[in-house]
Amino acid sequence: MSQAPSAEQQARNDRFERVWGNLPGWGTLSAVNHTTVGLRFLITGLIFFLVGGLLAMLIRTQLALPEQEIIGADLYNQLFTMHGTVMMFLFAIPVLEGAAMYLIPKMIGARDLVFPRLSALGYFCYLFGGLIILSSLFLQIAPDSGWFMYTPLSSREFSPGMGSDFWLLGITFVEISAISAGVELAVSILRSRAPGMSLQRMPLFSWYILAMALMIIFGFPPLILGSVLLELERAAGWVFFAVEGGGDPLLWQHLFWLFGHPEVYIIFLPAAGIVSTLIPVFAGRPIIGYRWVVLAIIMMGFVSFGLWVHHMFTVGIPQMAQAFFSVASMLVAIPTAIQIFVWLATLWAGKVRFHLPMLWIMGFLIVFVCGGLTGVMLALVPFNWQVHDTHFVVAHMHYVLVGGMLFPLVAGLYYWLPHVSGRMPSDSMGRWGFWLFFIGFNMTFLLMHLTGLLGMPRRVYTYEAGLGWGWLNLLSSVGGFVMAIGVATVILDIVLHFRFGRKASPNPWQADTLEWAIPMPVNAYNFASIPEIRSRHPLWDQPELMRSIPAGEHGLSQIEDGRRDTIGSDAVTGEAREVMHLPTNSWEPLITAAVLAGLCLSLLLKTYLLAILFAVLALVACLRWSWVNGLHPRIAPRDRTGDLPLHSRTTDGPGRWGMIVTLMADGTLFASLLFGWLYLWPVAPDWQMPEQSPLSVWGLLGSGLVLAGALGLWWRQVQGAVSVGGLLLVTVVGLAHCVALVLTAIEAGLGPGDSAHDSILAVVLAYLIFHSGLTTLLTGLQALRVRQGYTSQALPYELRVLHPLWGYTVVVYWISIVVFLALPAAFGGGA
Amino acid sequence: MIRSRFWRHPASLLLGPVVWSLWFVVLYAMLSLSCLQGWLVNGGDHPAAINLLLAVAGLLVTLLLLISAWSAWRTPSETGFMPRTSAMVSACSAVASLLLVVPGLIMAPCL
Amino acid sequence: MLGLLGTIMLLVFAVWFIALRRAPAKTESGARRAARWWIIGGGLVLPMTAIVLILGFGIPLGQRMLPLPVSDGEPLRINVTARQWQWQVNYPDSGIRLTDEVHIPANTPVDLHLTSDDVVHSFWVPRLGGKLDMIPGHTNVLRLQADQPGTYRGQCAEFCGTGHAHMKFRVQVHDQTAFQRWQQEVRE
Repeated sequence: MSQAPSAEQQARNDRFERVWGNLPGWGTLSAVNHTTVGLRFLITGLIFFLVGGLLAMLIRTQLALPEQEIIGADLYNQLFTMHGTVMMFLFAIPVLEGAAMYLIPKMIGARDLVFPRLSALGYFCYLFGGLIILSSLFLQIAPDSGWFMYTPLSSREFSPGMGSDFWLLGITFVEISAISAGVELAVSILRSRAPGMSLQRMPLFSWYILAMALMIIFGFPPLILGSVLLELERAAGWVFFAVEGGGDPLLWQHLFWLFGHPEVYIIFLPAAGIVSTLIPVFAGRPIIGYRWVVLAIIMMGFVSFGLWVHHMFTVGIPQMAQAFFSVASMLVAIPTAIQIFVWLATLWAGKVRFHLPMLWIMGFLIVFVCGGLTGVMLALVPFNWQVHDTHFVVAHMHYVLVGGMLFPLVAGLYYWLPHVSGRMPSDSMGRWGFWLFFIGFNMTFLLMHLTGLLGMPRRVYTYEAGLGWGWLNLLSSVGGFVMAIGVATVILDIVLHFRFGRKASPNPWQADTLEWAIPMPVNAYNFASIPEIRSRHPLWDQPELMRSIPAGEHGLSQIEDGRRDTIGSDAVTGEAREVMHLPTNSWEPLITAAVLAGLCLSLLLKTYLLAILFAVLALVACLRWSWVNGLHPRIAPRDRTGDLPLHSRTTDGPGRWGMIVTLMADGTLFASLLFGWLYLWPVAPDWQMPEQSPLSVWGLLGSGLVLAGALGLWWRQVQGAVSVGGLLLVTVVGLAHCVALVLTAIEAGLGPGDSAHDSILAVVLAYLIFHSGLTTLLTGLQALRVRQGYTSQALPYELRVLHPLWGYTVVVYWISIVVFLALPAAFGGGA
Repeated sequence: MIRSRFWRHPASLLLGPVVWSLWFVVLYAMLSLSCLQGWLVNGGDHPAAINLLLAVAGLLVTLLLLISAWSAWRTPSETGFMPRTSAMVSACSAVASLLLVVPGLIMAPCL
Repeated sequence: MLGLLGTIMLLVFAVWFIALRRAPAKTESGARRAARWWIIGGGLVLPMTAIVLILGFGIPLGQRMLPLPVSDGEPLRINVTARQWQWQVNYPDSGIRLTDEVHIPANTPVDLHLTSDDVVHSFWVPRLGGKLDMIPGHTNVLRLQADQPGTYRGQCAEFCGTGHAHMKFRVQVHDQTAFQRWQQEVRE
């Protein structure tokens, strides 16, 4: 700030810093603050980016000249697999999640995300998972079947080493961070906006991140399911993707691309959000066509789930079915074009200031539009047949991903740097970095389109001389190194700026969004007081906020009972509803992630007894985490006195929202499993449907009725009188259901090693037992908590959190009976 | 009125795309099943009854979405943000649903 | 198609650069009116027109590449089975078996029945046509028709393990009489 804060203000800031700050020394590992965790995501992601880039340099060295043997085929296969894996799973998604975690609370006027410990857990899972995956490279046993791991190449028979296991287990571990980020970003955006920030006043970036979060919720479960099934096939010999026994390798491709295509938009949307944030600022006027952008985001979110088959145009799917996906792939050009022209119209109407971030935005535009247009070409089936799996596709993909993600990301990095450091980036060195990167990039990948059209397939470690590919590859390699120098320049620029950058003035870019009302460099609590928002562009229309927020003239300007508080608001109108009391520094995320890492490693080393031990420990860690909550004496034994209640004294708080969003992800996982069943049944060449289901109809129906009874009893608890005895009764009935279900499963005598039919049934049963058991266990814990007085009839917050899980458990149970028992009975064996 | 309340709620933004997605799934599932089972495809190497069926269903879905877009557009509200945006989203979904059946007009269903 | 998309690309770039340089709009209502035209024209009409044009051109093209029934007789059938890392070629009508080479007559539709013994491979002769995957448990039919006799390079296009880069084959296209003669020779 230009004027020095008053003594009173300084004292308030110190008080806030004490409550919101991280612990010193090693205690910093217990940090849960979104600013800290977001920055950790960003820095870790950038380090993985450098690793991925290094792999790319090795690949380009090998391909620079024909018939080179610098790197053999084996190592080359590991290199390109790891390059794709690292860039996609360890760089692109986590970095954008990190950026969103850092920015979202600041933009919507909150002091933290609503589940801070979850973000810390996500970070550690990402870090440990990433290190596990990376370690395989140093042991020279890295996955080598390509980053989409097509079966049967990745199966035990054709990849006997541990490479595929590293990929499947490591990536699934990392995905915990994606799902947790998805849940908490969605709930935070919906429920913790500053008062008055209705949906239509949200900054566009929040719309983009909301869409991204929901897409993660619906997009990642198919991959998680696929990975679990493939690992079961590899480790336990179950059958899902092997033809022999009734699986089908195409099921993997469907599951992978069901995730894989939305994933591209999960990466693109936040980047486009950065563009939509920066362009109005540098055009010095509000965006024209806010509503059009919202429309484009929604359409993109949905349409991108209808494109996955365009990665599979050459697997022999009937033409007309392919044509649907071809049309859907082209349809996505419409929302993209809408956004591009909204940005254009905004620049057209405004007066553009050309700073460094704008340079990267221009780079984005050029590269991304090229990539988009080659995408439209690829959506055309006959053309796709020609260039699929060639370097043309490699070029297209890099244009879309680097253009659509990396350019906006660097633009955003430069734009928000002053926010983190309080200093401005240098203009001259930044420009050098941009031009080196831009020229190097185009030199590498523009030419690669031609290499592909000339017939060079992707993923070959070498090629013959005399095919006309030599000079193109050489130039591509040179371009790759120029690009690397560009990256180095940008990094050097950023590092140097922390030391030599000139001090930034408040709101250095004259932006409209709330994050710039935070004094620079950034503090731990964001806002000393939370203002009422009356406009879509708070800092343009309410400029006094720059002064009044740090001066503590708005809501929640006092620390009460040493709590971290932020305002919870209505999802639609943004009216203040409650005060959300957020957890402080905690070791639980680190402990839980470490136990999960132990689980991952013991599965990798096939020491299953140890794995069971770790699984139990993980459960204990999670339950312990959930125990110290709500009215627990260490958290918030008494309510506030002010007008708004604490969220733990309401019935529809963030916990319930988090539960519902998590169940959406869970439901998608279940739906993917149903898809696997309904797909293999008619399509798999060797599928065998037994005449009669091995599962006992009476066992399942009986167990299901007991479950329904438990739900009825539970319902009465939630609706009417809560009592320890009542909850214990629900627990006992739930337990009876679990026992009946387990007995039915054992009695069925399934042979998952022999047939895909039995394998899928075994997975479904395990899924149902897990849910029934978890629901029962949590109900039992609720009984204990009622006895302790942490929850009660007057304060049924936690019962309301658990309520959707009960409904979900019962619904999936009965859907399973219909799909896995009634359908085969009706349409019979052999179909 | 329930109708206007619905269109003023942000959930209405999702109506069009959800209908579009369901239509997409049904379209793909119907076509795949009839090719696997040989229903309505008459050998499958020329446009057949299934093409007509899908085209008619596509028209119905489009019509439905257009009607809902119209209904949303006419809903009065303070800022007009939600109903108008919902109407635009529904209209876009209608166009998208219609375009999906275009290939079905000339292509053989099961080759 | 390349021309159409290239033109769109250049137009978009040109308009953007003008937008960057030009003076700001004088009135807000004027800006909004112009914007509405940009968004409707560029965001809706432009991509929809392009899609319809490309589909109108692409769908019939795709239709021609399909293994539709031919008017006179049956197309020549060849079975190709891929395995790590070679191609087993089999002519069911004449019983000829080959490895890593395919002989076909010119100007005659040929149906290649493709499958795999182990992992997923993909059959591709860049100068003759599109590629089609070879998937264990499935048989896909690729229709090829070569216009010119000669030798064509073919290779595996789907990554299939260590030997992927060297999994190549040769397609020899003969004219009709030479093809008959070749069949005779091989059978003897």
